[in-house]
Amino acid sequence: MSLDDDLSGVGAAQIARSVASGQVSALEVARSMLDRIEQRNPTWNAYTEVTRERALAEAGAVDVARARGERLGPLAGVPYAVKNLFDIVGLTTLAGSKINRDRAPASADATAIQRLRAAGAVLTGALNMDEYAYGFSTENTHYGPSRNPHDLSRVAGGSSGGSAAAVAAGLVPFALGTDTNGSIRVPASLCGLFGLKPTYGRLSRAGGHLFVGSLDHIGPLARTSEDLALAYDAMQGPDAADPVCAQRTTAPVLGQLGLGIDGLRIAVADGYFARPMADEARSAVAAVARALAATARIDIPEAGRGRAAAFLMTAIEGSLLHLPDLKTRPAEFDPIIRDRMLAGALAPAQWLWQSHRVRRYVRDQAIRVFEQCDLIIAPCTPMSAPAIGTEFITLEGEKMLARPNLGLFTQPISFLGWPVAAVPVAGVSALPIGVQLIAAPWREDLCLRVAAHLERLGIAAAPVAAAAAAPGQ
Amino acid sequence: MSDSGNADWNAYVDSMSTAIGLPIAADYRAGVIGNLERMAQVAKAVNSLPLTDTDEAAGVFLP
Repeated sequence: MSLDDDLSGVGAAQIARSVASGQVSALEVARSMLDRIEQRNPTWNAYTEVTRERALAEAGAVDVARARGERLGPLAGVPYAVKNLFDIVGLTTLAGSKINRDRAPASADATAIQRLRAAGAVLTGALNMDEYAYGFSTENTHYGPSRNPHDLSRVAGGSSGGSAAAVAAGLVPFALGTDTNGSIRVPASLCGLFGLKPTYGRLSRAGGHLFVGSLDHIGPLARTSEDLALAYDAMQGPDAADPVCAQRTTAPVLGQLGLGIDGLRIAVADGYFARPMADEARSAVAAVARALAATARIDIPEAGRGRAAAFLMTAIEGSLLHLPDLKTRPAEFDPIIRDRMLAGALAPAQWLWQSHRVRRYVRDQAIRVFEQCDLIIAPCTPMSAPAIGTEFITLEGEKMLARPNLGLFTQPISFLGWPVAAVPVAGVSALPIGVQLIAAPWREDLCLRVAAHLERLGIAAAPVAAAAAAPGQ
Repeated sequence: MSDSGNADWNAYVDSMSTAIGLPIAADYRAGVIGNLERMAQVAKAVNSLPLTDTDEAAGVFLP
């Protein structure tokens, strides 16, 4: 790799190797990527803030460490960016809102950023999202919609839409998002990326602005399974600052990506997951099932009821978090979410408490599927990216609201807290579409192993969007 | 009430917004009621599961 190459398509692993070997300096990589971000970001509206000075300082520190002969981290010199709900020291954490602009700048980085920095990664900025993460489309009224790099007239997905747009456009090789009901997996599917929603409690969320603490996860989006694993491994480990973060030793997955699928029992999700979807979503599941020789079909019990409970927990907990602002400055909320927020804040407590009790019941029922299989293939989004502004979609004759139903297939799995890789399926449609690879709690290794296997087969691929990678762009 | 398709959400919004001190502006009222009606539909799926008084929630959820 040299700076004569177009760095937009170069992955994190390759950048880290090139920096470690001295082929390029971290500072050269950072300058090149920052220049491209500053020139090209307006096309996709992925960034809300570019942290140029910080990025140059972090990259410079990597070069100094290398010059001293110090051992470099696995992400040395790799540029990345984060959804703007992660605290970045010195910046105000927006969480997609206008209201939070009044808050003081963050006094420390979020845990995930601290760990990525320790691994040598270079933070280039903060990324657009749905206000308070309440959405699947990143049609943010305050900051404008993020645009899908594969088709600028379409949504990038959400709520981590800026994260997906930045990676799909080749502005950075990986980005951090959060996933409460599908907010990593939906944009990964619509922008054609790999995304990992780890087990609930695996990665620390400390320093990230909560949406629904009972359901919130953080995770990376990237263009290869190797880059996903690199970022994920760097963020693992207990953290007393997050009450949900599990006291588990780290379980690195990078070294397991080449293990293949021998001995794995792989099944296709049926029942709830066979409900109406567009042709491309069905084709994507079929293509992956064929490639993995997965013929068994299994039903995840109570998935529909799980989605219902997740919907209520989200509406009520997500709204009550903002009750003081809903009381005093409702007009400053994004109109797309305001009425939902107000309704959630008024909802009967019984709906929330019953949902929490149902969650435990559903968990105990659903976990039994792993007696029959090790990994489950399921659709990710029910369709490829809709046009910006789409209110309704029709799937196999059934008309429904577009925005909440982009998470139709992701919501039951985050409710269960199971790990999932979203994997982009090559060649099934003109626009990107992904599938979910779902494993039992704490088995992220299986999700990523199978993702890497599909990548080697050419079934999964996440190239930089053609329009973004075009010469002279 | 939460299982009822016949709840008077108009009256409910008045009572609840007063009880918790969350005023609902006239411009938002129809949207709020529409959202509560949608939630009430969804709540039917949650409330139709027969639970006993020994079915606890998971305090800190461990999957």
